[in-house]
Amino acid sequence: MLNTATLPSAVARLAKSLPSFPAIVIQLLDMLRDESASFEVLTHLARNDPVISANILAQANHIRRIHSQSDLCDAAVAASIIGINRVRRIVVAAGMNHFVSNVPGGAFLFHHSLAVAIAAQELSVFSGQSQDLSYITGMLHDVGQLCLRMLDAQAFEKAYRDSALDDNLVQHEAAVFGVDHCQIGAQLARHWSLPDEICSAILNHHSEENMTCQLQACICVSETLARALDLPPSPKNRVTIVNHHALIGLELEWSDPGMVDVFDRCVARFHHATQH
Amino acid sequence: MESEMPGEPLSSQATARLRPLWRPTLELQAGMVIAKTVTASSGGYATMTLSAGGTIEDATIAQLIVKGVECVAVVNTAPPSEADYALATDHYQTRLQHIFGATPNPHCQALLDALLRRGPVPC
Repeated sequence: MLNTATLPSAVARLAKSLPSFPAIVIQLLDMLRDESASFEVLTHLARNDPVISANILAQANHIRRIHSQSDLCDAAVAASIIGINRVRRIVVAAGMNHFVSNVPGGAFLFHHSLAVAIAAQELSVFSGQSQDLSYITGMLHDVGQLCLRMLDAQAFEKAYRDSALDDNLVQHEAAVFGVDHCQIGAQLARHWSLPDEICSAILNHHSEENMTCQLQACICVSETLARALDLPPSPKNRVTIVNHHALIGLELEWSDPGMVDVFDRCVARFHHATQH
Repeated sequence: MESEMPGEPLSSQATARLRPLWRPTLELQAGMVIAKTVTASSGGYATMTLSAGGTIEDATIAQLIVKGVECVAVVNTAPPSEADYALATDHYQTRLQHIFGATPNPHCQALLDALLRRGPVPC
């Protein structure tokens, strides 16, 4: 059984056996603190990862084919065509996909993270938060589930199955492991030296009452929205709680006429991202 | 393009059935008609505006990608028939009932109501 006192050393040990999180994503997250981080640095990082390079090239070449131009082979040139924001999202999504790809249940976890990231970005447009930070935190918010799976996959599956009855995964996890995926995920994020705001959002994303920051509020609501929209489709998708404090903090009203567009955009983007 | 009788207010289901379709920028095709004004911005400044009613051209798609626009609302030129949409709505409502349960609390109910008003995507 883990507890909050032993968690840091346990996560430090666990981090050694986890698949390595691409260094490029960690560097990218670090750069997010500096809005003026140079495009050249980012594209240099992206150039060194074949999966990320391929994604950037595919999007840039889509544009070039529209103009009947020949395909590019240089990721840096391609990145300058599609723009820095799109490059950032490609880097984080590809990094997370790579991270979870060889773990049991990793595909579903990736699709769930993607749905929450898209919802977080769309809601942040609506509520005026940083779109990049919301998207990236959405991608990372459930990374603690990966840790629990690595510790004991069968025990985690049982906690996950049992939670279908009462929609209280964190309680079932804590009963089995001593800590839940929010606590272990936040500790892993601290171990990776991610920004405090991201760590706090990961730690509190299932909190019903607490609202520590706007980012946490955004991830809380986005998780609920992704399940409500059935993204990704799963018989386990349930909505029994909406964090009312988070909604107030974000100044969101579900009855706002613009919400229909938010819902439709989330669905369209998720289907596009999972089909390509 | 289909619409209800001229001068008649659209029912909420007709509004949902005939609403624009959001298309990811990478799925746009030349000839589609923009249904809602698109504004791209950077650092708080608008860098591009495309008005509703304009037709998308190849060059527009490239511009939208470069400006980081993720999705565009386009006019739905082939909405589902009333019967097909009614069937899709039944399935959608059943699924929502399963997700939200029989007696959602008031905070969940507000989200459920918004999703019910929206209806399924009309395609």
